[in-house]
Formats: sequence, structure tokens, C-alpha cells
Amino acid sequence: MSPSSATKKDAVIQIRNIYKSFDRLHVLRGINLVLHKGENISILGRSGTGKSVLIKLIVGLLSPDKGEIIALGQNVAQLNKAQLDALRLRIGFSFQNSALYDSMNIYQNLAFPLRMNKKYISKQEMDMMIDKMLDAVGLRNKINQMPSDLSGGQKKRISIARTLILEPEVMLYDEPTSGLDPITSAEIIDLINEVKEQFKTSSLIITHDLTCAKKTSDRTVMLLDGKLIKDSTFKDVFETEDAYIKKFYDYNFIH
Amino acid sequence: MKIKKYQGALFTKVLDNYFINVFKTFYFVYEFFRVVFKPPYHIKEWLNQCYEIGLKAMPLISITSLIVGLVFTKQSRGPLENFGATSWLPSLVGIAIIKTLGPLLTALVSAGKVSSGISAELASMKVTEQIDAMEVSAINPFKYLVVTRVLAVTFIIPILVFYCSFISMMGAYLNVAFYDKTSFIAFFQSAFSMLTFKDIVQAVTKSAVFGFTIGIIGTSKGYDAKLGTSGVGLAANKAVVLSMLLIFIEEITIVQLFNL
Repeated sequence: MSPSSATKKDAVIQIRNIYKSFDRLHVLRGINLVLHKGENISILGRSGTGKSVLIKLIVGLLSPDKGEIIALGQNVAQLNKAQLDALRLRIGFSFQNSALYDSMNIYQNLAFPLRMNKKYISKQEMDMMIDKMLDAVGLRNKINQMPSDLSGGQKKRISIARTLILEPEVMLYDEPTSGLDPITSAEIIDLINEVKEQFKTSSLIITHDLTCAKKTSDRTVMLLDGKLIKDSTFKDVFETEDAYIKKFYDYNFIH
Repeated sequence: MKIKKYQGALFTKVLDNYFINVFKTFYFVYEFFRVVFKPPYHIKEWLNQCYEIGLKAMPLISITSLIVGLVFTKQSRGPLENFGATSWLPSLVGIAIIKTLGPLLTALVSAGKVSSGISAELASMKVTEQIDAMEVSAINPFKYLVVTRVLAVTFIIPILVFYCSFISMMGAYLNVAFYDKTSFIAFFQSAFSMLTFKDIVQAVTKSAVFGFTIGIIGTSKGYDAKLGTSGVGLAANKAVVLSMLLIFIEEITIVQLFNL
């Protein structure tokens, strides 16, 4: 879907003129972005440009200094705790370092959000859902292992499975391929595409990895110094004479 | 002139940090009482924490309390002998252990073992974004991690105090039995003869207050951890130092209040 063909009606996330600072450090400076239903957007940019901050603002982990975020039709800043929790159940967040609960095994990691949010779920139902999610990420054989026994790629997969178990409509991936070898990165990229197909999610993907951006996204957004400098298809973004974007591209594919 | 200015700025910064930390701790306590009675109640996690905290602290408390009981009795014997008052030894030991040594010893050992453990656990969860992961899964991490642990420590410390006092008394009995050939029943009858119900209430009150302090300080330092992995060690260190300091301040305050 191209940005121009999308209508306001099918927007799942609307980021409007967002500013965010930490003390004197101005991280985000007037970001505007719309994620449409069924769309994957990758957000590129150097470290410290506020990419992760942006998705943390969407789920209310941080609050903007200025501007507003409309997520699934609700203004995040105006929600009370219960409403925010209800919204969070519809938005999946996959963390950069997986953030698996290291005192729980894989089964417990997946069962925990279910147990906490679906009071009347039976053990049988829960087991079925966990098996389904582990099948989706291809790690059913790891069900009784501890997170410390898994590789980086496996942790990312389990983290995605744990997020998907609550059946979110929107997925936020924070650097899903960072720290992984090219083969494992390719597996995660395939998984992101499978998630989109199978679970009909819309996604924001924070990444430095241009292969990931190219293969998973309908649109690519480039951030520089807290500002959005490009928003288009991957091809359009990198067919440019802009020195910063060219450098970003060259370093990813040449070096 | 420059040094004076620098010292002034440093003093202001230290004072600022002090008041910010005091405010944060009080806010943490306020937040605890705000959510503690609201559902959901994570009973299973609370029981799990009671088991973990109680069981893991027991070996250390057993050894330290036995030694303290034995040594305290041995050290007290000499001066009492000078006055020909060794028959008062069980009573003296009973008062000292039940009213002060038991609660204080348990609290200090727990501050070192439990408070640092809780703090390091929560701090590591914080820096690895596990707490954020709970938050985005619509789970209240404060309720699940903090409230359960604080309640568990507050509940378990009084039980550990009774256990510690009993083991200390056993240590004391070993000494008394060795020198005086006193029977077990006679020793305990004599030890408890000078204790009143008020003394037991004082011990239980102190223990619960110490437990709450250990829980709140441990969880608050862990929950607010920053600076990546180095923040984990720092949080554990701060939790132990502050818990111990507050335990002594609470000890003197409660003793004063009960003796008004």
C-alpha cells in the first residue's frame, strides 16, 4: 500500500507532531507518521535518533512532551490505566533484547501474559495456544527450556511468540535482527512476514538492517536528529542524492 | 574561590539527591498502600516469595543465632558470677534475645540476604526490560513484583524472628546446661519468667516493621535501578546499607515508644 492510497479511516497508528526530550537532549522533534491497517513500516536511523523512544511512546511506556498519538482510534495520553492496559493488549511489543522472564521457562513465559489477562482460560486452552505459537515460531521443542539455554535468535522468536499469544492487531518490533548472524536474521525476517500473513497484523519495525527493512516493509521511514526526513517505499528512500541516506545505504550493503 | 564554589555546588547536588531519594522512597510507600488492597491479588506469587525468602534465609539465621545465643550467655556469665547472680542468667538471656537480639539479628541478616537479593533481582529485570515487557503485556509490574515481595517479607520476618529467638535460646541453653546442669524446662521457665505480653507484642511489632522496611527498600532500589548492569550492583548495595541504617533507627524509635 502506498502512503497516498491509504485513507485516514484505516489508520491504526497516527503519530502527530511528536516532541520528546530527556533533560537537554531533544530526541524527537516534530514527528508525523501514519501506520495503516495491514501495512509494515520500517523505521531507519542512526543510534540515538529516537526510534525506540517513538515506539515506547505508542504503548505509553513514555509520554511525549508535545503532540499526540492515536493508537487504534484512542489518544494514548488521555487513557486511564485500565484503558491503556486494554490498548496494550491490542499492541504487541517485541523488545530489542527479547526481555524474556529469565526466572521462567519458555512455557511459563508464554503462559504468564495469558494467565494474567485471560482469567477464565482453561489449562487445556492455554496449552493449545502455547503449542500453536511455538509452532508458528518453530520452537516447540524448546518448551521446557530456560531462556538462558536459548541462542539470541531463538530468544527473539520466543519473544515474538509471547507477544503474539495475546493476538495483537499491531506489532512493534524493536531491532528484531540486531546482534544476529545473517542466516538467523533471514529467519527472523521470514518470521515477521509470516506473522503479517498469518495473524493479519500491521507493524512498525525499528531496524538498522536494510535487508530487514527491504524485505519486511511496505514503507520505509528515515529519521535524522529526531526528525523524519524521508517516508516512502524502500526503493524511493534510497534513490536519492541525500548524503546521509546514501552513506547509510553504502555502509549497510558495501561494508 | 573556585574551590569554594565547587564545594558549594557539590553540597547542593548531594542535598538535592538526598531529598529526591527521600521523596522517591515515600512515593514508593504511598504507591504500595494505594494498590495493595486493590485486585488482582497474586496469592501464588506471594506464597512463592514467602517460601523463597523464608527458606533461603533460614540456614544463615540458624548459624548466626545459635552462635549469638551461645556467646552472649558465655560473656554475661562472668559479670553475673561476680555478683553471685548466675541464677538470673536465663532471665537476662530471655529478655535480651526475645526483646532485642532476636528481632535485630534476624532483620540485619535479612537486610544483607533478602533485601540485596530482591533489589538485585528487580534491578536486573529493569535493565533487561523485563519490567517493561510486563507493562506492555498489561500486567502491573508494581503489583506483581513489588507488592508480593513486600508483603512476603513483612509476613516472613516475624516468623523468622521467632525461629531465630528459639535457636538463640537453644545456644544459650547449651552454655547454661554445660555449667549449671539446668534442665531444659527449668531454663525456659526461668527465661520467660521476666517476660510480659507487652514484650512479645513489641518483638512482633518490631519484626513486622523491619520486614516492611527490608521489603520496601529492596524493591524500591531495584525498581528504580539505572546505569545498565552496574546499576544492579549499586542497587543491591544501596538496599543493604539503607535497610540496615533504617532498622537501627526503627529499633530505637520503637523501644522508646513502648517505654513511654
